[in-house]
Amino acid sequence: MSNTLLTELKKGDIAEIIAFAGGVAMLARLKAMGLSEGKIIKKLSDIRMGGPVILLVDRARIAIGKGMANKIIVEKQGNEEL
Amino acid sequence: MKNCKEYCAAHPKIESDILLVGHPNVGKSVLFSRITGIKTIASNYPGSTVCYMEGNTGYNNENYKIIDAPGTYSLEPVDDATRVTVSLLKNSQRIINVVDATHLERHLPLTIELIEQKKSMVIALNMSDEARHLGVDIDVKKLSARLGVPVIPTVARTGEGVKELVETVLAQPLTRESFSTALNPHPHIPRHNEYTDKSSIPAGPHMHLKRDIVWKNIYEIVESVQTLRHRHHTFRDMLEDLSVQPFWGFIVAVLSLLASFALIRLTGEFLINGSVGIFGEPWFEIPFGIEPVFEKILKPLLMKLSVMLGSGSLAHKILIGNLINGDIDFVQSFGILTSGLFIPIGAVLPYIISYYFVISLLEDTGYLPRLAVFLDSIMHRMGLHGYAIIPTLLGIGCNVPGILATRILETKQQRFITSTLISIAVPCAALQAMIIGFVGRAGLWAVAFIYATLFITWFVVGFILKYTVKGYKPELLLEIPPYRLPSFSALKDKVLGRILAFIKEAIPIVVLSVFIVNVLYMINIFDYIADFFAPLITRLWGMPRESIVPMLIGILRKDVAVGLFAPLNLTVKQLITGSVVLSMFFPCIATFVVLIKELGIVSAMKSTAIMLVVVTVVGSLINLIL
Repeated sequence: MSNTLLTELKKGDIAEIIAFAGGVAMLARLKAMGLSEGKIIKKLSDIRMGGPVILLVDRARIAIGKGMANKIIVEKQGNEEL
Repeated sequence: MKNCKEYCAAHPKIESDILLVGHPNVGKSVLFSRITGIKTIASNYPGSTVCYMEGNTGYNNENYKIIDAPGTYSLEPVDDATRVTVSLLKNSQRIINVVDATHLERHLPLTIELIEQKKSMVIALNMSDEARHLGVDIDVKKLSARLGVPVIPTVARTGEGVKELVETVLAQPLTRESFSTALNPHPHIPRHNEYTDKSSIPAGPHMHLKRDIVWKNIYEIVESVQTLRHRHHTFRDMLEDLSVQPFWGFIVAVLSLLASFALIRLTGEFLINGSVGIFGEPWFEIPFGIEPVFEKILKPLLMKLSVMLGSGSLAHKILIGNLINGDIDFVQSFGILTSGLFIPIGAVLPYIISYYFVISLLEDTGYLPRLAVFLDSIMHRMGLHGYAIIPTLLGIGCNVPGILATRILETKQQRFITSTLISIAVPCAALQAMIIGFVGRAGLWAVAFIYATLFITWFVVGFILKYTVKGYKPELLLEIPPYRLPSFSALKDKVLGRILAFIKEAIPIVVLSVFIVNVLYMINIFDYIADFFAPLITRLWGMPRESIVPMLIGILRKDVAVGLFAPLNLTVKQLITGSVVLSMFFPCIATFVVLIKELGIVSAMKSTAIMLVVVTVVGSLINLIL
């Protein structure tokens, strides 16, 4: 499957993190939170009107601001209804 | 309660025997209070220890200094809290690394960074009861062998394993020469994967090769020590997912806020009047409340004292104040024993109790981070992100802890904007109690008008600051904690601690303010000051010139200042203008000192300049509109 952005995933989509298109500061914050290349994530929700994206990673829920979520490249692997 | 000290230096050089280190929200503070016996404020959101706490514990007749560091995800300093932790780490002898047993794989990266420090170290596998409950089994012996440091399962909330933890950490030799080879790079390790069996190494940029290797090792360690039992989706899971969905989450947010306001108001009124009810007949009544105690018990005693002292004497003026129509009026009389006692205890304390009860409930359940997620897009309009709502809500209790809590934000710019907005547009609980109690008599619409004005000011000033404050404004990145049922004893300790702090700090200052006001009136100094400020106050704000007195006293205590409006016979319009101006004009001295300490003198002055402009403009606008 082709690569897409975290923001473009739908609710319940499962994907693998492929790369980050942000700077060093963003990378450090994301890695500290346990988000790195190769991790499998599941998108839980998407707050509309510029709100954050909420992910499940390693059984923890993480909220990521929209701008940052737009810089995370993922590969969709499937969908698991919530 | 034992004496506890909280320190907020940016680069502490303090030495400690044992340092507690771990992610935010893993229970370090609860563990700290279990070890030291000090009652701390712990909450269910990341970053509730914004400064560090110092305490002691005795073991084998030796005394050891223990420090609870602010939560950190890694030792690469990305925010102020982490910088503090890194600094503390340099000067500590031993480390207790607190990890969350329910999410081991998320915590091991920090553990490995800590192991690399080559200090004496023990791991506290905290929340191990919750892990068992969630179906997570961890082989503690194996984990300890793989990491090369002792691992002790603990439950900080109940104290399980705490004694063993302290004994183990103190029994460790002070230096470790080398650590287990388990962490050495290992080329053929299957990747742990929750959803698929794919085990190839992902293609993609490897900017941090060393860290990637560490990650793979972590997965391998976790796979070998942890077994996950299958578990059905529970009601709590459903609720947790629901409250971050756009539609239901919004409904939950609105309901939670409404319920919180209602609960604050009802509890406050109940404590004041001894009865509860929204309309007409009370639903529930007890024979005493704080106000009846003042009116029926204290007043007759004070009236006797008033006769004894004689109404013209100096002592009468200072202790009792002025008699209003031959009687004591607890708001207007303004003596130390009348208004000086009634304002903090009769009017403000009930709302302090109810506010802290509700905010503590919200903190402990884990709802606040979810609210932050919801308000993220609104806060973006102000150059902030959703997490800034937590300091703001804490500022409603008292601006001081609110401004301290801005440490959970990443950059100086965000901290400047949030602190400035708190000091200008967030009235503290003491001031609000007086506004509701005193201005409320003129009609609820007046109170609503004040709140609406402050809210609009908060938003508009934030919007302007977004475009004027230059610099990097990072986005929200937040681990949402699970919902937890608040523990009653923890809640009780927390509310009690906050109330005692209020009584200890507020009452002396209120009494002092009342005394100063009386002395200044006697020496007539206010006339000169009033002449100086008259153009601003009378022309622009439409207030009588005497209202300079409450404005200036507001620098000491805002609640006392509202009480000073009482004898001025203000119109409703003037009461509204006065309350709004009082909320914005100069934060009280305690807030001002914290503002300087936290932002630095230059930024604090900028913040003050913004405040002066805003208060002049908003005061004049209300005068024009109403």
